[in-house]
Amino acid sequence: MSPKNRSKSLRPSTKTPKSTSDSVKLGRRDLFWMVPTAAAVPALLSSCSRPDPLPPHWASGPKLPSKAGKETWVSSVCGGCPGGCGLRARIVEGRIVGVAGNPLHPINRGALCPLGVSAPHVVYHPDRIRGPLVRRGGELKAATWDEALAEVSGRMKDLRSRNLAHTVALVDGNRGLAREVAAAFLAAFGSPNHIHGRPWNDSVPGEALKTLQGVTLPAAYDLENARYIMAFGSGWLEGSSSPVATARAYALARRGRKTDRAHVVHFEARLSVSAAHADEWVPLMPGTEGVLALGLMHMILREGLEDRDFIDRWGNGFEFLRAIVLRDYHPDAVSERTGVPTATIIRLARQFASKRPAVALGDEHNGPGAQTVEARMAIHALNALVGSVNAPGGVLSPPQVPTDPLPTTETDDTGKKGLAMAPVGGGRSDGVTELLAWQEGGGSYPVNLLLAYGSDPMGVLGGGERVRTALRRVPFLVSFSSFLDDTAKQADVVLPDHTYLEKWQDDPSFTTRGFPVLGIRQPILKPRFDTRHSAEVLAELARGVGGPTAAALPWKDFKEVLQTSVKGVHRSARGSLFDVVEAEPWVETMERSGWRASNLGSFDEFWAGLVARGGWWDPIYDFGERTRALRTPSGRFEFGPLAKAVEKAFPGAGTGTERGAPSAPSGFPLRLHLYPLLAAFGDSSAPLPWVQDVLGREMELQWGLWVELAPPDARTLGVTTGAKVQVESAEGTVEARAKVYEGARPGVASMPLGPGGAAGEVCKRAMLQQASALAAISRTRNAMDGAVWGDTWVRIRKA
Amino acid sequence: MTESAKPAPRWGMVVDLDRCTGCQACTTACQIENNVAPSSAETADKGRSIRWMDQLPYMEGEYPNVKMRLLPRPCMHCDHPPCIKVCPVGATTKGADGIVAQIYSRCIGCRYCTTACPYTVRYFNWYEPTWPDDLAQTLNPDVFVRPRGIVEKCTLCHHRLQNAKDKAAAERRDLAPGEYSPACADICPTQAIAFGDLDDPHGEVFSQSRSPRVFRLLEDLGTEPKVFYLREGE
Repeated sequence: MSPKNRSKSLRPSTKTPKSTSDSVKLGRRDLFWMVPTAAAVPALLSSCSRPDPLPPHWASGPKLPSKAGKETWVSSVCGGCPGGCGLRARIVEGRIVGVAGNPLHPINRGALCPLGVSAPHVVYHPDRIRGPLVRRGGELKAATWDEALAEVSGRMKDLRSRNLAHTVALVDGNRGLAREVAAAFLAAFGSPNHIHGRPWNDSVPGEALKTLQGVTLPAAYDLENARYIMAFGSGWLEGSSSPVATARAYALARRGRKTDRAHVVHFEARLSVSAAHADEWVPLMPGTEGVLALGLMHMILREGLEDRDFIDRWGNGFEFLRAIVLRDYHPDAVSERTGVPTATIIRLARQFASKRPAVALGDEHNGPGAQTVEARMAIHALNALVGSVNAPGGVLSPPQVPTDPLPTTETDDTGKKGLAMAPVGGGRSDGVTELLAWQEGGGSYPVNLLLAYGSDPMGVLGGGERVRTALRRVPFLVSFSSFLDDTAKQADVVLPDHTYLEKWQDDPSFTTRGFPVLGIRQPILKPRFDTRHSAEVLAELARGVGGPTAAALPWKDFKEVLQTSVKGVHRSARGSLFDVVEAEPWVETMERSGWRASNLGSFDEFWAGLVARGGWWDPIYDFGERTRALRTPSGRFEFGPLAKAVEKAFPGAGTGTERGAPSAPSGFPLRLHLYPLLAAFGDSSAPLPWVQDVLGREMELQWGLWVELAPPDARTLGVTTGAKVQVESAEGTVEARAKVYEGARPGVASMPLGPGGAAGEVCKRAMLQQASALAAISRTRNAMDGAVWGDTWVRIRKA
Repeated sequence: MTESAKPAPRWGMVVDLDRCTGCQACTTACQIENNVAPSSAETADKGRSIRWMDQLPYMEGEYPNVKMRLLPRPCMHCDHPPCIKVCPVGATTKGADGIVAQIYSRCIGCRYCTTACPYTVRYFNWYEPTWPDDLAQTLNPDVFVRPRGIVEKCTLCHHRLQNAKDKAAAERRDLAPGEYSPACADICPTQAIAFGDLDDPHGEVFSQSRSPRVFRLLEDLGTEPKVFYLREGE
């Protein structure tokens, strides 16, 4: 991985760029060596429709290739973020020379975001890990697969023989079959520690949703059919787990209907891109979103605007909540805490309750964020209050893709003992935050071996010093990353995965309307380096461990497992292969009339169609099937847990009766607000220079970390835009450039954030890591899943 | 080709700001489609990043009554382009289809046009374009790389028009509506960018460019831009 001499200049050559592995350096007379077809020359030289004769002094240039290479397009699924967009890669002479959105894919319908467009750069990225690495003498050194695998499986076998199987933990960033493989591996091996390793709730529901509705899958937000959208906290257009789907739904809500343009209200400390697109932006103190939701609830209840029908039929524990909210959350008190004027609270509460369907979005929708689970519950309860749960324009519970599960695994006595141990985080699959708390002394046994499987737990946790110290306490760390991300840098063994365009994988997800989607990711080209499919590597490790673990994963080729698994979808005879947009109303009409036709054909035809078209979906959402949306023991929407949380205290914002705005700890006068930038919030962990170039364009301060300050705060500090400042929190200090921003709330310092990326030598993306390193990672159980940073206060001085 | 029977299309674009979410997929798609070399911190600091399709932020008002508008901004392909008038070597031309083009082989890099363009859509290549390592493998074979010292700009993905025309000609038919569109319009998640013949009464851009929400940038300069914007709101 020597990054040196990467940008060698290239002599003008007569070859097409397929053979240019380095930078391109051109003189004027070399301009046309890249042109693939003689026919295209006039167009390319002049880029106008009238051919311009070549100037005589150009005629001596290199000979052009006689014809373009063969061009093919292959369907696959983007892996830049959990969005699950279908893409089509353009392949010319064995190279991926571009991607387009798959027009048949129901999630993105031919569109892509900046990360998706950059997919080829992930494959050809100079910072990729080119083969297995093993730490020897303190440094990561290249090794063979046999050596690296033996190193890991040997240790696992040893731990297992000492009855310490449970001390192996696996942090999982995959979804679908690869996740099931990991679950089967751990179940046979004997470890209860399968930890959710992504900042998004893309494969597990958020804790608030789980508590109030008892669901086991994440929710879909039917924004497209909402007439009123109220967003709390960070940018829902930038930071959602499926940005293209969210953007498409936004556009449809705005202009997809003849009348009834959706009204959007946004509460956030800064004028973000999402706030800029709202009809009304209401600045509020970060961390008070939950209190604000309860204030709105107070007004709705006081005026009797709630959906009595829904609450009576499907609610549980509502009267308890109602009494507390009416007692403690008067708009005046809420106004003092949140900084939102009382009149605004009253007006917006009336609007929200009367313009239905209305939907409230918090971090439960966005995924990553700082909202506590109580705040998320308060926001989500607003949806129930106006009947927007399992209703058009509200929060939906998509059905599971009917793939066949892996066969159940058997384990032996050692395995059973391991499985019986208390899991990290007491059984809550709350993600890496729990792991951190465990490592920092909350655990009853040490984690001896950690597998970072499709995940970068250190990056997810912000990559700060505290996180590094905590995870360094794990004696043996294994990363499966394709890039040298935060975790891989600390790892003892790196077993690099293919990039997402080089492998087979299923990608189960859903549309904003709650339709289940199964995207099929297929290799666009052969693996470029000595990398292996992570699921296949797990199977190999299982064979190395032997015993019941080996028996649980008896296969060698992940594609076979995938083919077996999708047989369930074929057997279900539901839904259809991806089709043109016009087919959608047909399927719905047929479903409504009770006539369901399967166009899936024989399994071989089905498989061929899946691969060619990119996947399968079922464009039906059955609103009558309440048991799917409300899976609590009572079968109702539980207001009780929220009432209990509100009654005792409201974490993150003091108790309900407490007066005044959240106060700053001494010495740190500014509240830190970390927010997502759309394209930065991917998890491919490849730092992509083209993406970097558009990050924060609206702030006009790209390529570096910045901190936004309101003009009065900037005046007090004596800083102007572009000035170098030091931002200091109790957790650490980072350097940034000041941005005096008219759209910033006074008293709040805002900084962009993303999960830690690989700060490779070629394309650094250090800014994101630095910003997150500042954040005080919540030490409480309140923050979960993505909420890995909590209430942080900073001071700023001139550098 | 039977194109001569019909007047040449007037290619134009309508950007619906009520759909746009400011994601900048258009910017990135454009850079990658057109082989724009990656920028760097230093380049960006000096304002030398090349973005044929840029996103311009406009701020208005004072806290808390602040408005921010994000405008995707390609070349306007003006009917009366000021850039053509100042070019001393005729490197900038306007074709019959209204596309304002840059003839790289003629450009002497004087940058008069970058100054004359009121929309600042013209970019001077300050540096030798370089792609780190294997990233050069992803270059689009349809578009060549511009060397240092010349000016470049949005071509409305002219190579796509050329390819579409070639295909139509090979199949002995006219270019069909929708057969040609630039990368930015194709990639847009919200379909905020509509593209087509402004004179085709059956086309989307024809009706959209006559919407009551329509405006154009710096209309009073008389440049007659062929990029229209639809403002937000009802």
